[in-house]
Amino acid sequence: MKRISYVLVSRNDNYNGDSVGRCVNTVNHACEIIAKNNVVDQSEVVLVDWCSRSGSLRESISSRLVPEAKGLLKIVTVPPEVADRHQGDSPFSEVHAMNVGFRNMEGKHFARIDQDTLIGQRFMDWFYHEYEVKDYGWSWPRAAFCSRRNLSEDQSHHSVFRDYIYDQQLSRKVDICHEHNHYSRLMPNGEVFPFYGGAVGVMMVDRECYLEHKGFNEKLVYMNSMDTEFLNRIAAKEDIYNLCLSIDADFYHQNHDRSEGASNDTTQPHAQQEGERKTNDLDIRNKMIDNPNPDNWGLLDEDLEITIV
Amino acid sequence: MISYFKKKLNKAKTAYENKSLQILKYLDRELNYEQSLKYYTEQDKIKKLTMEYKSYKFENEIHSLSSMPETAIEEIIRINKRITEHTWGVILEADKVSDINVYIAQMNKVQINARKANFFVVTDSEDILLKLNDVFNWMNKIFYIVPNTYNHNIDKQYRNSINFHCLKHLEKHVSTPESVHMNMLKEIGGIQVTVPNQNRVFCFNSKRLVPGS
Repeated sequence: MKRISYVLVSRNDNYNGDSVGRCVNTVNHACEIIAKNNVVDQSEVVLVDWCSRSGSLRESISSRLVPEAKGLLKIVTVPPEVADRHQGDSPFSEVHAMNVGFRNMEGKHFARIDQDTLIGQRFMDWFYHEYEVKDYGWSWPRAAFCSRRNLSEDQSHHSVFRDYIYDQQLSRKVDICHEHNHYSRLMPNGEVFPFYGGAVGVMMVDRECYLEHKGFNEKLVYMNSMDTEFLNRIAAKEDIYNLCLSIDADFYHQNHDRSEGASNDTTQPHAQQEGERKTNDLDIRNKMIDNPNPDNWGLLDEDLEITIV
Repeated sequence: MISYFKKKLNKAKTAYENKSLQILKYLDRELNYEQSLKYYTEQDKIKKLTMEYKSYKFENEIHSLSSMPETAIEEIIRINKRITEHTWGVILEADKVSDINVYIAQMNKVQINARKANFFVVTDSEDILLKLNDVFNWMNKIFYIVPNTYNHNIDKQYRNSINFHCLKHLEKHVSTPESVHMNMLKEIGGIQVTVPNQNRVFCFNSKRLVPGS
């Protein structure tokens, strides 16, 4: 039986507002939609708590989890003393955290979702009932990428966000993030925005494919561009499934302020809302770089605490 | 006399105001376009067609060029002037389009492989034409959908034929399955018509999107 591991990375802080609250929403919603679709045995949710400096994320969220999380949610804790050995001067190395998620997942498919992004029903229908289930006479791509929609402040409210996810008409009314990427738009200079270059809804990579490429490049310890860099490496060798159009951006980002967001990242739609977080060199989107990860990438040699909720 | 003068001045003021607003809007659009070449800038959605259009039905019967009125021939010439050697025909019969993204994906693939490609869209749905115009343009300034013209003085019965005569000069087409025009184009021969497979079309060979490709 195929199995998917939804991998989220976060920490116990107040990044751009109530980041823990958004993370709880995302974890709870993921567990709820999995249970609602009766696909618990084909799924797991892996939450990597990376470098929480004021108490662990597990302790912070344990009383706020829904009953559906039981048996579905796995929390991998990477304490600051371990994280700091790997991330240099970055306050939060997503690439390491995601590779840790991969190393500790059970599924055949790694599915990276942001810790503040909600999964939609169209994705559930596609993954559990079509992808690698239906035989159309060709091999399904081993990697897929889906863009996401940005819930407004009102749409993000806990009393209504489910309406925007489950109602197929309402869901399409939520603004698409990075439309140029979503539609692979052609610029006047002949460059095309790659569909897999926008803000992530889900980035799905088959286990073998992930291993072959040695995961996220662990040199890219700052914010942004790491998904695009990874997918560029995959795209150079094989097809990528355009889930953006296939399921019409069926992931929903919860609204939050951006005061601590990326600085100097002109590739982002929020460029005017200048944040303070250092970003990876923008050039990595525009050139192929080697992935120098050592064999023990993903903190393979570290002894990490794993909790099944 | 004073009241007359005041009325005239008010009229002039309104006219200048409107003109100024139009110029400001134009300048904003130009600035947005300039910015978009350097930074990520979302473009405004197009809510109204930027070309002439009136819906009509696809029909099997095609009027020969010799049987069409001069105005219709002129219309064909006008449309053809906007068509280039890189233009693809896109034939979309609305009742056969269950998911417009299937055709957007196919058109994406065309542009990924041929960066000069644009599209002449023939459809019986204004909504479809609007959606494609919205998707396939850059900052509402560079359009990759060839603009239709629609001379309302031409009898409606010729619209189907006008578009077909424009399509038949194009070498490559994307079409809904078994469209009326597709079958007729195939009979002409030497013309490629792609009907996207709604399952396969989302598999993207993205090598040409990779930097340095």
